[in-house]
Amino acid sequence: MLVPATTSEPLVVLDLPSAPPVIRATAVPMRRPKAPAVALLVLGVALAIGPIVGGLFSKVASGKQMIDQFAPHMEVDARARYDSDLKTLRAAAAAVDTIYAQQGVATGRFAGLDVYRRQASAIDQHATSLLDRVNRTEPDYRRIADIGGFDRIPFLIVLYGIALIYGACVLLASTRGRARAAVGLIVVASFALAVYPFISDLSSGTKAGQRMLHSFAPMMTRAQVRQLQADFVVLVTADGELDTGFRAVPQTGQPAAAVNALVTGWPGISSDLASLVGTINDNIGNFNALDDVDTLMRSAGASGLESFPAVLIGLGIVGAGLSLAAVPRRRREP
Amino acid sequence: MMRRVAIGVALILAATAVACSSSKSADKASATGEELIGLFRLTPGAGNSAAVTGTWFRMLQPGGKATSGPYMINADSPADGGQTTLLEPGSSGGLRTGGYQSQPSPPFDGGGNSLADAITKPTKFFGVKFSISTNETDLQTKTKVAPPTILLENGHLSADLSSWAASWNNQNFNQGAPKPVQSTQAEAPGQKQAQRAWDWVSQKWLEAAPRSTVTGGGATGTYDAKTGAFVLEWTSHIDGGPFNGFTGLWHLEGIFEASGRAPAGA
Repeated sequence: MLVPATTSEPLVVLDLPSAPPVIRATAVPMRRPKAPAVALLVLGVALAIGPIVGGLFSKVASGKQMIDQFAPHMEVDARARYDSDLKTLRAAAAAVDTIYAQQGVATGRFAGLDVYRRQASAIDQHATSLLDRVNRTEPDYRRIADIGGFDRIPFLIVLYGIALIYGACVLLASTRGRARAAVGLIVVASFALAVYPFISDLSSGTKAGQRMLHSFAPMMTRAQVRQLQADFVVLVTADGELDTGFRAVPQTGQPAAAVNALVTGWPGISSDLASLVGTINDNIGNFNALDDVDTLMRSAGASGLESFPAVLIGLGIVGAGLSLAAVPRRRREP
Repeated sequence: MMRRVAIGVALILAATAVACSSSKSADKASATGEELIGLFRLTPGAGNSAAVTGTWFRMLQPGGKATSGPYMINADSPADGGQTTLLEPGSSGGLRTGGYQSQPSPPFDGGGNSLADAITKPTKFFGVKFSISTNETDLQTKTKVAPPTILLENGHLSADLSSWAASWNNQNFNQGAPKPVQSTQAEAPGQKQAQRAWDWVSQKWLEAAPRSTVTGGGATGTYDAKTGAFVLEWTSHIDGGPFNGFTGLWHLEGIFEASGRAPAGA
């Protein structure tokens, strides 16, 4: 293997010419519009914190939970079953009256049935009114249930707020190149926010939601639940007597068949009634939370829940506009 | 460097806070007596008049008083004019402590009758059979609860029966004492993360104590160490569902048979 021989000769001194001075380009004077960037920052902070502090997450989620929990009761089959339950109850009430008259049953012999006979008409009225309300609201219920990602709206707003904060900070402090990229991000986020109401059916859904709130309002109350519970106590006591002591009273023909239909159908009827009353009771808080969103929008100067899409579109436009106005620009030469 | 020190101090403070709260609850538990683990074999309810013995249940209407009613009249019960529903021991003979006697799957038959038959025999209540189970996650509130725990101190029993659940007509009702808190609140996507971030920003996490999963008092009763005879009683307000505002009154009687702790998840 060849090894290069080492030399100990001194280095040659080179006589190089002096390097020319480096001339940096004079920085182009930039104008940073501070007001729109600061406004963007304030808007971003408000949007990032507002939904958390204002409880919008839980309110919207409560609304979504109510929509989900009412789903089984809005099915065509379920509503047809409720209608059939009411017909059975009506027929049985008339049948009991007939048997009382035919057999000369003395008042006081069946205390529960006496109460039932007195209240049957009012109970029927309460139940019919409730069912009518459910049936009338069903189309609006469907529209609000069809909104895609309804409960993600607060999360979108918070994300948008964070994007605005980031963009505003870049616009206030960074280079022009980075500022332009940040503005690009904000414009894209603004576009997404403004377009969301159209791609998610939010526009038609919130109008329907507002109508649903008004329609459901009379039934989503503690008083309504107490009334239905009181009706249930009367019905359950009457059914118990029909199934026990009242059997000793001679019954024939259509009245007997109607009474028997109630007794045999009672497990199903009571299950339907219990399930619907339970859903109403357990969603009063959810209903109130959704109603709060409506009130919140009104207090913010909007026209309630239905203005939600317009607010999102407006926020998108304002955010994009402010970011574009805050782009650093070259100062004009004097 | 300073930042690391600050984080370290914060972690130590948090750990201390957690340790303090844990030791408090441990003190509480140790002050309540000897735990009775085994089968609380139920004596069947009996009696057609107001004088009822054995194991029974009453349902108090909203606004009523536990001592005077008004109670729901169960036409399917011969006792006390239907005000009291008599209960019979189920296939296990009664209530096991130290483990769960969970609801079977499916929980109901086509008529809404409860199929849980370990603790009590399914019993007709307004035309539909109801029964009892004890579950790790409460069927109504969706809260994780302790298995039935009964403590003895000087002949007196105190019990955590928060997992006691009644099932009837395709509905589940927590009927325990103490009552589990609701875990069914709605939650939006991202809500937990946003709330955690906000708690961190507002430094709430330092003050946060672990939330209790139950509220109110437990069941109480008596125990005769010579005969093993016990009595357990409690009232349980129904929170939520179709019978919101009603109250269950429970009276268990029988003989305690000590045995080993049930396997976990049983």
